[in-house]
Amino acid sequence: MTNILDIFKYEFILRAIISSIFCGICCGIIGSWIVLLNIPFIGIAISHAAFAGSILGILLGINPLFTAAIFCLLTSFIIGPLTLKINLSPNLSMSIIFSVFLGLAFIFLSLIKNNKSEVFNFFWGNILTLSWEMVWIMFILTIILILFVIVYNRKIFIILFSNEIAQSVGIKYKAMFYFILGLCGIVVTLNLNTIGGLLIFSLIVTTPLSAYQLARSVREMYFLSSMFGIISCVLGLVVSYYLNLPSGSTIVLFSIFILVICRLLSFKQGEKVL
Amino acid sequence: MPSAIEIKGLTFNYNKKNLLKNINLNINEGEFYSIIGPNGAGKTTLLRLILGLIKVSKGTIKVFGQEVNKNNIFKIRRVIGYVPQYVSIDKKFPTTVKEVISIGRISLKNTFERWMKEDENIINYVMKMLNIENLSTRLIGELSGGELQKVLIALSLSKKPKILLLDEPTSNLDPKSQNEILDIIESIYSVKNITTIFVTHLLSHIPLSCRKIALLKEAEIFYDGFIEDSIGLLPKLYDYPVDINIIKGKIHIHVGKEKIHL
Ligand SMILES: Nc1ncnc2c1ncn2[C@@H]1O[C@H](COP(=O)(O)OP(=O)(O)OP(=O)(O)O)[C@@H](O)[C@H]1O
Ligand SMILES: [Mg+2]
Repeated sequence: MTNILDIFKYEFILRAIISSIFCGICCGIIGSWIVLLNIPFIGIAISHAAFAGSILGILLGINPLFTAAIFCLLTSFIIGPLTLKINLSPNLSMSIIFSVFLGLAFIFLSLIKNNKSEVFNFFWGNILTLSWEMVWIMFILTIILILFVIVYNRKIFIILFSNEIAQSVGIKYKAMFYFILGLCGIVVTLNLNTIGGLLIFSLIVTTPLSAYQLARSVREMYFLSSMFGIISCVLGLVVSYYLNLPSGSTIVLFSIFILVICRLLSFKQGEKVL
Repeated sequence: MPSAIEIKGLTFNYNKKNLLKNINLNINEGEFYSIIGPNGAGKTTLLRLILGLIKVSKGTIKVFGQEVNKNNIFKIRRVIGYVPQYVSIDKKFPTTVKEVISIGRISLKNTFERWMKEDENIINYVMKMLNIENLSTRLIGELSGGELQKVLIALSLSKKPKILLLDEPTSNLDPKSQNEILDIIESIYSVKNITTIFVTHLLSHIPLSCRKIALLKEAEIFYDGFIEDSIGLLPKLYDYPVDINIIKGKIHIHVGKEKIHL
């Protein structure tokens, strides 16, 4: 028995578990938005903005985290106007942003003379090497998100439900939509450094999608996807610790496992295609 | 009577094409107006302009004396109940009928305004009026087209609107549901006397309470006024032979297979 609890003796594990909880909640909330608005590409667009940003940072000799964050925030606040002003679907405008940044990234990369591997390290993130400051930042972000959801819960629901209806009933759709995208961007940006640009997908798409199978209201969806996020992070961490596997992979696999179960349990099976 | 909607010299262009051309229309408070025209005439476009969802190219639209523009569209949209012709919704969206109807109430609230017992009462009242209480806890994606149509009407009514814009609320419905919806619209009008604009391309769908119509074709309104005076112009609407007979003081109109009695 003592062996099993051993894991909590290490501060870095404790930190990872605490941040998993915040991460699960944040991603549960924005992931629900992302799934209901059908904009999964936001993750790709932002992680590549971070990629280009960090390379530029290394190139210029500034802290790559800083430039990456700036690129990410710019992106998340460009997507909204780009979508509404040019009248593109969000996924298309995000695909364009994605290719712009990928192009930029490789130009920057070609300009770096030595030590290119540093660039890729940044991209993965590692939940086991987080600092307490990072945990605090995530805590504050979680609180902000929860407050936003409490105050605007009903209006957010309308925007998620249908932009046509939101606009015609007189909701201030634009501002709210931009703000939602901006918050998604901030959460994704912060988590690039914690769980990494690729793993974030399992938390902003897979777990909310699991919740989507079972939820009967948006509120239930926030709750379920946060729970699923926390469960996959914590279980993934613990299992990776004992089996000595990379934590990111075990977290992803747990989230997929939950998705399969939810899909099987779903009452929203829909029509079978012949 | 004061005017609810006043449209003057309205033109709407898209890609240099006139989708609406020099529209003048005045709809008084408490009037029931039908806008009739073939597919592509510009009916939906006209409603979207009234709501300020798209911007006029020339001319003005006033709603209760206030011009529809950037500064007051939110105020104007609050007093209008709009039932769109189509809405695309996610069939699996996690929400119930009652929650969707509550959108009408939510749209009237300011940020920190609380949800009241009154809101709940209004929603229940509207559901009762449309006879959809039994659907209340159903998921929105599980409804039939007609049921969804009723839910959207309920949504627009839960705002307690001063103006009701109905864009072909009977399209996609079976004859029984069509009549049901038309009856509901009539009863809403007769009870509340809400200024109502009813868009359709079928003359036979004009509710009985409607006294005035506007005939819209190829971006222009070529007639607006009382129904009785429009009869001679109806053939022009469809480019299709229209038979008009007066039998025992009642007017019978045949447009193709359609039969209308006035
Ligand atoms: N978003 C748009 N962009 C460009 N043209 C449009 C758009 N929407 C409609 N139109 C064009 O405007 C004209 C009027 O369209 P509108 O939808 O107002 O017609 P309608 O009278 O409502 O027809 P229906 O009875 O088929 O609903 C049509 O010729 C249509 O092709
Ligand atoms: Mg139309």
